[in-house]
Amino acid sequence: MSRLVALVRREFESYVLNPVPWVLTFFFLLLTWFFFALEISGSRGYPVRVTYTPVFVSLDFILMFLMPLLTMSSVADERSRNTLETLLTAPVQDWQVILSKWLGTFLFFVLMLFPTLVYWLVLRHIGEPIGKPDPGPIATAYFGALLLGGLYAAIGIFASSLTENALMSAFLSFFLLIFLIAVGVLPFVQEASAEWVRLAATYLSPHDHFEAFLRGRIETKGLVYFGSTTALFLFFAVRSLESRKWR
Amino acid sequence: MAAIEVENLTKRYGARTAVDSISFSVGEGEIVGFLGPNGAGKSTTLRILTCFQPASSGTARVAGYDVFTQSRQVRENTGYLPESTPLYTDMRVRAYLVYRATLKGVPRRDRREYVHDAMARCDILDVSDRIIGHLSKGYRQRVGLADALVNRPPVLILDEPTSGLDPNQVRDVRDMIKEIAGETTILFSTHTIPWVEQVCERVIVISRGRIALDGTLDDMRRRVAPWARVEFRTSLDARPAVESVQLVPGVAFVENLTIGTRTSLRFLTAKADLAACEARVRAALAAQGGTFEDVRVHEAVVEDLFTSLTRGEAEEPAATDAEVLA
Ligand SMILES: Nc1ncnc2c1ncn2[C@@H]1O[C@H](COP(=O)(O)OP(=O)(O)OP(=O)(O)O)[C@@H](O)[C@H]1O
Ligand SMILES: [Mg+2]
Repeated sequence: MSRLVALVRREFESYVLNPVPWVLTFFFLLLTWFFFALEISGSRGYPVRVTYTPVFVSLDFILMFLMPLLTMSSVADERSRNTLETLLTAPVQDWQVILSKWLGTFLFFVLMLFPTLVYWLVLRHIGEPIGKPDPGPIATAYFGALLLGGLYAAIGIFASSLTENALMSAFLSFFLLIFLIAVGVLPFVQEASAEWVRLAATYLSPHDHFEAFLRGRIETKGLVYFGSTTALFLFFAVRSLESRKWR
Repeated sequence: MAAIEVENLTKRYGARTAVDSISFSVGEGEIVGFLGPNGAGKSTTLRILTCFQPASSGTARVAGYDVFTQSRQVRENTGYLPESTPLYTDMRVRAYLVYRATLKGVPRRDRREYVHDAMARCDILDVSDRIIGHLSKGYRQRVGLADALVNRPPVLILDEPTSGLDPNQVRDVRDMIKEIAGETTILFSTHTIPWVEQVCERVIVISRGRIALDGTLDDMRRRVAPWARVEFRTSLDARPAVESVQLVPGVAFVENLTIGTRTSLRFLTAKADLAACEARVRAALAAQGGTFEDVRVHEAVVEDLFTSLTRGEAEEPAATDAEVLA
């Protein structure tokens, strides 16, 4: 247990102590602010009180760019700088390494989300009829945001575990994310005659699941989706780390 | 029981065999130098012993545990300094060592003491609050060493612990290794024999993935005792000179020492046969129209054995070479 704590701490520190994650945080806040302002100004009196949509409406899109950049070096740099050799020759297990990388990333993502609470205050300040934030939907929106970030982080870490080139890893997770998000709207999927193909494609995309949380609903379907896909990509990442043993 | 036992260990990378069925063992408390030229398979072997990579075939036991089936126990009992001394450059020295001690399972109440001890051993107490990335290569090497021994493991595996160090630092590492000798089994790799001679009594020489020599330095001194090293210059070009001298009976380990334009060679020959052998070499060179001059004869030393063993990777050993080694 103390090993896992030490690993997570190290991972979290590697984000905090380096400038790149902070630059990404800055862009993250800039982009959320931009979309927030756009939504608010476009809403013209349309009440947003029951949802927190304006803040997170484009979160799946924004994170599609930011998360690959945040996670790109997590395993890839350990590989290229050979610190993977010191890490894995200590008595730690491969799953502990991956899990700690994911938890560390997740914690930093929580840190990134914190400043967005300001929008809550902004909404309250704007007041009726546009802003009348409800704590319930806001809580589910943040919950959904955490699930979304967790899934993206798992995909990013998986991509990072495949290569020793951080940039390659960023591209890889970017394309994985694009695929996952876009699979529901691909033309040939849309035109697929079989109903189940369309259903499966929509299910695979995080977008609808996330949107449900934004609307203030916690759906079992969504929980299962985020839980299983996140676990699956972390599992892939562990296997990819283990693959050194049969190469 | 031996601290390290290797049996028929083989590692293949695709079609390339990096380590070819090697076997050796290191007794408890023994210090052994693992010697070989670039690409000989030293790092590959050490990575297998520390469970970073599996072998293609064969077995290895470290501290009594099998590296494949009991990887965790092996790693708990082994301190490892990888070849390039990888470290987290953004961390401070003490924080890094505390982190490593935690990973290695040192209980919380002992951590401060263990880390302090390791830093004292490696003489890095005065840089304990510096960021690792700001340290010089030599100090980083020491941090790597401190990491290897922070949990006081019974077995230490060090891959080129002195690479990149200045002579003073090399001496420090030597003293440190001597200090922990006895309680700890140490296997370290290196390219240079003089250093080995200062630190330990036993060497394993690996060349092209195979064990070329395994024994004590005394043993090797005895082996080279009947041999002399002959250096000379000749008016021939290096290549034809080497080729013709190699064919002379009684000549072993011909080496090209040429720097600049004058061809300079050396070879080993039996002291008893020295005069006759010199005459044969002179005749062989004369047959090609070459001279045999500036001849200097020395006692053969252990280093001659190593340089001879580990030179030119592609060359096949001559019959007389084997005689020297026998
Ligand atoms: N990951 C790898 N993939 C393919 N070949 C490899 C790999 N690692 C090592 N080799 C090959 O295995 C052989 C042995 O390499 P190794 O690193 O063990 O040598 P070494 O004795 O440590 O050399 P050096 O003194 O240069 O460190 C070399 O021919 C090398 O090219
Ligand atoms: Mg090496």
